[in-house]
Amino acid sequence: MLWLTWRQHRMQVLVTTALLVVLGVVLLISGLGAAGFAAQNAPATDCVADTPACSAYRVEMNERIHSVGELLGWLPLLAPALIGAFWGAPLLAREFEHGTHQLTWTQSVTRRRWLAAKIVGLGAAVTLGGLVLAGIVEPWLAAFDVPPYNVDRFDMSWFRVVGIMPAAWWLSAFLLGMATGALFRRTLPAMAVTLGVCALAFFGLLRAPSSYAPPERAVQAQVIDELEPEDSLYVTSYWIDSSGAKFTSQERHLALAGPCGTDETTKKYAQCTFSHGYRQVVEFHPADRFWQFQWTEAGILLIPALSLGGVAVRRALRPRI
Amino acid sequence: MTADRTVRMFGGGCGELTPPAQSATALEAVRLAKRYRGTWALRDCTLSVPAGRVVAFVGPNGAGKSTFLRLVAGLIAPTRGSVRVFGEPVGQRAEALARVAFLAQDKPLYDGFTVAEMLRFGHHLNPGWDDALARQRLAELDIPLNRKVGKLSGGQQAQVALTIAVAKRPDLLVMDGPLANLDPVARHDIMRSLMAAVAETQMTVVLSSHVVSDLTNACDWLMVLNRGQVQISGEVDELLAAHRMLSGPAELADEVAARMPVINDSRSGRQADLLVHTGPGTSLHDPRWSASGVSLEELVLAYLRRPDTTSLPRPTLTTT
Repeated sequence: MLWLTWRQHRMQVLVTTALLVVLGVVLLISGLGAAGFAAQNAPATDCVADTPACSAYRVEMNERIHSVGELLGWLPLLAPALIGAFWGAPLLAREFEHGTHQLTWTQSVTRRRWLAAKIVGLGAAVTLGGLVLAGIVEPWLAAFDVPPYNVDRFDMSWFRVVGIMPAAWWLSAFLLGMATGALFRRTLPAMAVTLGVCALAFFGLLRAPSSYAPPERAVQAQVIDELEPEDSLYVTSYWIDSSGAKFTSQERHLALAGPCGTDETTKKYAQCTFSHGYRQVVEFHPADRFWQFQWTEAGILLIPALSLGGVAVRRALRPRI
Repeated sequence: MTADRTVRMFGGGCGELTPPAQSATALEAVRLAKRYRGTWALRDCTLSVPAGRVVAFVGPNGAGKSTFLRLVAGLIAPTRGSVRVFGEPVGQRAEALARVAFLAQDKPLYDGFTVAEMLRFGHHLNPGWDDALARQRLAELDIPLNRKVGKLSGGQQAQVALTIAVAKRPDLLVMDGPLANLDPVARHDIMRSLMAAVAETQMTVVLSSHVVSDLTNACDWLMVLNRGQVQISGEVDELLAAHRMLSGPAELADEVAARMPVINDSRSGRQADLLVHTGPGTSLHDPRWSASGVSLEELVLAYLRRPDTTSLPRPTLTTT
């Protein structure tokens, strides 16, 4: 059974492996370059005061990370969609389309065992692929995380290429593809629907992690640049007056136009607003919620995918047509 | 509702009862019925076939042959009734699946596999796989093992599909239209290699076709399905012995028809040709009539034209 699964799906396995290797090489080169640059150019100071050396270093690191990061940014959308369309959708649809299920299901192996072997084998491969992706992205990110440059894997740019996110997305997409293939019994419609649903899921969940838990709230006690702790997930920020009522920045702007002037960018303006009783509030998720959020999203994806897969498989295997 | 009693039928079309102990039953259907979205593809099929037979399963297009064979192979489940192979329902048990080989209508194979990989497929999925047999068959047929299945001719693909079915070493080989879409040479070759395999393995074979002449020489049991119902099931020799073509004066035809079942009645002027079912003991000793034997093809055609006529062995109901 393992041989049959491999023989029928080796193309997908090989192409995915090859793409992961290519990505690994690109990230290795980029990561080594960044590490080398950081070792030579990272300012010794903690850069609270923004010296030219500090900003030059930040700009260079930012440029380096984003040249590759832009490519990586497409992965959370593209990779699950392709996995679903090419690993999942043909799994049953192709058998039905070519009538080969009649051949395979009349050998001495029950169709249940046959499908179980395929789902377990390919599901494990897909999950492993997702974990490998995270496994090569994380050291690459770590190479950039040299102070004063900070890389935050809770940041939505990286959240879905680290931890268990790629594995969860890939496995869910695979199950989705298999289910649509079982329901449509034709490869192309199953692939199209899988691609569509994957895209919908991606855009639907794009900003969703902020709401996976009630955010924590930090109120400004003195004038500082950043309120939320490092590596946390920023949700929103707003102003309150001395009575605690919420203000939009526009309303504050109007109220303070007299005493504080209109140039909001200066520190003086900030101190002026502060002395008038205004406080800035930031809502955020602390860094230690990273894994909680990873598992929450994994659940959001995997529970429907597993249920849909279960229903589709039961329907497909029922000796009916 | 029929769980506690078994309907068993043996013997030929003339209603003689062969003792049950003589041979095992390879295939047994009891009130088998299948409905697809409101239309019955198969209605109330009851029949049994003794082991070791080569069964010609004929009927017009759309008679329900494929449905019946897919039920036998366990690919689909009956709406009503049951079908058993060697006393056991086929379906979702590996041991039961191992006893039946099925060759579907389009002879599906994995086009991207080489012939050798198709053999490996058979080897991996069947504990009783006879690899030597498979390789020997393919060598005799000159089919290259390293060729992709999709690149073989239609006849060669059919041979590969048949090889996989035979090398599974089944007790029952079910073939749905194995000769369809093949040229005459390929048809002949398939039948010849099938017969060689039957002689070697003693398996029971059921093969369907809507062309009777393809099967006449090879088969010793005839099953006719028409409009979803079994019309004939019996041993070929007994069926032929039990039917006669009577030719005589047209004015006496009604008298004959009253005495024995007439399957086909064609009258032209003063001459009448009656295809009759002569039961045991009902013989005609009238010099004005001449009797001659019928061919299997004539017999099948006559029955197919009269869908409401059946020639089935008398069922013996054993209530336990």
